[in-house]
Amino acid sequence: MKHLDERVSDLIDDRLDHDERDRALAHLASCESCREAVEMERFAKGVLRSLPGVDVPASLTDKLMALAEPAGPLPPDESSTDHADVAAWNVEAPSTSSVWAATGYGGTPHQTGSGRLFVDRHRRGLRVAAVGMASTGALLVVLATLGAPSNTGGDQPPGVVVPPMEQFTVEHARSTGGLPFAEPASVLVPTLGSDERGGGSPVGSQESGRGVGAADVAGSIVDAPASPSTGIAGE
Amino acid sequence: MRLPVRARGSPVSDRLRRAGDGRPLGSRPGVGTRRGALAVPTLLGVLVLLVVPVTAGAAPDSLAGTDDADAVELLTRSAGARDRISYQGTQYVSAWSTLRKSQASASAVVKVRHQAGGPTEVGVQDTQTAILHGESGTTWLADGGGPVDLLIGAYDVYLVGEASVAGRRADVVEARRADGSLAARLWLDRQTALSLRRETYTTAGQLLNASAFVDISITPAPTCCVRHHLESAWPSSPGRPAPAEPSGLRWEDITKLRENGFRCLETLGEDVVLYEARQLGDAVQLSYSDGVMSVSVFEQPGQLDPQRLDGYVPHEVGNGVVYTREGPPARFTWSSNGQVITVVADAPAEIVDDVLRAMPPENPEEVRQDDGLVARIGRGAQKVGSWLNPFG
Repeated sequence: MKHLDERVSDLIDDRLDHDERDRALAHLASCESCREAVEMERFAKGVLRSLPGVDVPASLTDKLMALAEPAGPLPPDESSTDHADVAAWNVEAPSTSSVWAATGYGGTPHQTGSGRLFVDRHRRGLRVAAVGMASTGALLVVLATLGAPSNTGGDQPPGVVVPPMEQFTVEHARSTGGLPFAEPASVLVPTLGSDERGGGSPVGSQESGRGVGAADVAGSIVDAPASPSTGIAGE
Repeated sequence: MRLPVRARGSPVSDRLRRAGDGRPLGSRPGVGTRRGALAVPTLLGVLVLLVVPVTAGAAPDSLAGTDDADAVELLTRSAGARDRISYQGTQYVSAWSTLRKSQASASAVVKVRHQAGGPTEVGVQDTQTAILHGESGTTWLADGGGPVDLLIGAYDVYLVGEASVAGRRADVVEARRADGSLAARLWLDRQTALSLRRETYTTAGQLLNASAFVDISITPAPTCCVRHHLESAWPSSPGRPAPAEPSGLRWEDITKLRENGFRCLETLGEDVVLYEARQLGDAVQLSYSDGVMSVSVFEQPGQLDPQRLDGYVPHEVGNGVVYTREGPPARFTWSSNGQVITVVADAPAEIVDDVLRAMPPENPEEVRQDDGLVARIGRGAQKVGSWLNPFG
């Protein structure tokens, strides 16, 4: 028996009559390549059925049909104004593909002559497109899985960081404290260090809970208006 | 001797300054301008009365490009003063934000106690203490002998006169930039060379930091009797998380860090050099100074989560976003090339510009989006490619 070729789709869609189906199954038992073709098409069919519904624009459908019809676009089917919902392709229908129905081409797969050739060519194109889409999707899924942070091992992207600003500021003060001529503004940091913990309370704010303020002369933490004045005579 | 100084005042610092002028991208929680207290002007006035005006005039510009030998000698003595003497007293400290137009400032009167060769304890009302003397356990990374070399390498220093601080006679030394502008003025105790008063200025001539002893008691002490028990005071401070024990890094350690993606800049511009580096958990602290100004740069692997930064204001810088807190000291943090960079600056904003130029910020929101499906597919493709690459 010859390979199934176009009959793969018919077999999957259960469009073969009883005798043809028996012969096809017998052939599959001995032909690995046809088995793979059937499995591939079943996989593609499953992927397509799992996709969410997408409304195909009328213009796109018309253009596709124009490409498939050498004599020009088919006349629109007055009986059908709705276009195919890709995910709703009723591939289970035994005799009438919803694709044809949706596009107004309500023929059966058992046509002969030029009509049969057209249907086969069209079906092959759809099959290739479906397989391509499924393969691409599967490839992307595989790559995304491989690229997930949990699978990247040493290449794992760095995590989200919130710098410990208070600790950094204190460490800055420590380092600067070792310099004899560096300005000691950093000494304000540990004495006013509540600004970070206080949920954004400003440095020197009396809201820091220290109980100190402008009136505490011996240990006051006060807020000063910006002033470039040095207070040095002669300057 | 003065090293050449590059041009200052880049668009980045201008942008940050403008941003500090009330034009943030988002809200500004917790970044109120702290003003209204009259204590600072009052205390500054007290200081004016305590300090005899400098008797000599400012250094003449004709001296530009030279260092005053007497000033260098004084500074050298001063650098070692804290190893020779113990002292305690009351010090007034005031600082303005690097983001000048933010008008943020802070001041405090603190109790200071230092033991010869040991740490310096700073306290407020005996309830808060801090140890400020970070030299122990670290390696001096900068060229030259120490802080004095940094200072005279970056500035021209002059002995400009004498004054009185807290009842003690002091020599006044000024550090000036190549253009003659004043960078720092130091009052050095005539007897011990200890720095009694200090002021630093921005390139625009505005005061950046000021401190002075209101009273001080100096006691020469042999180094044999130095006590180090104060080291334990910091981690036990109530309510404060114990910081990870830092470890000093050497140049060979820094070389390894660079191989692992850390930038570890050697200089910021030409004059502000790396003098100390420490490991803090997964972060690296890099301390820079020109002898007067100081900046710490922290590098951490990861991406910044700005949503959890409390009180930091986003500012667009280049194509990225820098989150700032005006301070003082001013703090900046941003994502850059897979790292979170944090800068704490007691220095003009132009120095922060150098860090921003070397490690340009990214937009953390965009970085986060890049970590979505497309990025995962890309990483997967790279992985498959590495499998197929016979040379990989």
